[in-house]
Amino acid sequence: MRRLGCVVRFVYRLNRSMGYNMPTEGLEDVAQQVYLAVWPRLPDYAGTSALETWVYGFCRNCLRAEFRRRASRLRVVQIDDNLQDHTVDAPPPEERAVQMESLDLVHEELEQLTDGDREIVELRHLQDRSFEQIARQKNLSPSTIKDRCYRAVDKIRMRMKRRYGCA
Amino acid sequence: MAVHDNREFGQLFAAFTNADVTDAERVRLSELAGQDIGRRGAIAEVEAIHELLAVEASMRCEIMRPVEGAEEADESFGRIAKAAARAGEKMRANMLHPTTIRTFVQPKPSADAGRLRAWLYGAAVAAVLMIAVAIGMLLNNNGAPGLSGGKPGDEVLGEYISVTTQITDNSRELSWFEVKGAASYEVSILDASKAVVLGKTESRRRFTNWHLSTSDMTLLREHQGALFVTVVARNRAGETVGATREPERLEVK
Repeated sequence: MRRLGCVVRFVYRLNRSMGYNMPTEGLEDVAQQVYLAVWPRLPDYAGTSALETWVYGFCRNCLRAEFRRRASRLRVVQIDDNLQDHTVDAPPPEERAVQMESLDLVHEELEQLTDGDREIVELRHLQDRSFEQIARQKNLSPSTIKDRCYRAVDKIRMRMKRRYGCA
Repeated sequence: MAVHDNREFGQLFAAFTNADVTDAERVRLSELAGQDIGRRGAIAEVEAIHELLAVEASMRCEIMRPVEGAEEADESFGRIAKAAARAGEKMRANMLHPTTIRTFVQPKPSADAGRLRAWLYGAAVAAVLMIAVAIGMLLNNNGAPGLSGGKPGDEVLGEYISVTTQITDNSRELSWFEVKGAASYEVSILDASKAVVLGKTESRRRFTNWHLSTSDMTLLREHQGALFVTVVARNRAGETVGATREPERLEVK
């Protein structure tokens, strides 16, 4: 349970970084939702990736769901004017909001991949690991890892193209 | 476009998608794409995804760094932490004392139960009808026979006692229900002339039966003619508090 302490800072920071700008009571709900979502699935946690990386996905999903629920209720989406405070050389708020929405889409597409493929893509593109390192970790040949990584990202590209007309 | 170019573009595009190309290979990929809108579009799409993944990577680094003192001091952070702690406690409590959902299933009534219910319903209807008839007879008792066929002087004050009217060798017992206020019972077996053939007085209040001996049974069997039984209940003052309405015909088998 102590290792799930990361939920608090993930929810707190994601709210700002993603520009959701939700009030604290909304974040309280999200934190509780994450706990309720993570706890029953702990036996499913394979342990191949860091627990925090695994929990991060739950935080993203719960926060996004809560944000959309509130946005649809209020019909107003405010853009966080303080976003520039958090990132050096950040784009203007409007552009940043669009970028965050695109990030959400990529994240959704990553969630659609199989656990194995998603892990390879995250290791390569988010953690900047070499194919040899990933191959050793996954006990597979580098060429297999390269092939699976390419197919997974290409799948994301094709799906985003179909859904939104462009990546 | 040559087949060789297609294969080379495919290989470079896969390497590019994997972010595994040198600068020279990236230039070569652009050359092979040339003015092909599909190829240029695919490259642009992969670039966009790479860009988003890079933003995601930097954001994750930002999100996952250790918590800072300033954050912990923030009221909002504290409230989220408390909410998370509450959820954690709830989950821990659920783990230690799992909620049991108890389901009560109303048993489907069986055919026997249905018959029993129908019988009870019928008995209740019959009882109501009997009460209604009895009330009607009592209210319209103008010279017509009432519930009691006896003369007023014969009427028993107190409770009516119902007594066993059949005895056998296997069941040599006369019994009746206890009468409220009774201190003693007088039980008599009479012949047709109302002379006492056998009699017994019992002062035990709980005494509501008379177990006949073998000799009593022999005496009764040897008796010629009809036999009757009466029971009279008396209180401590010797007053009648209950009796059989009239001598009941006793059968000895």
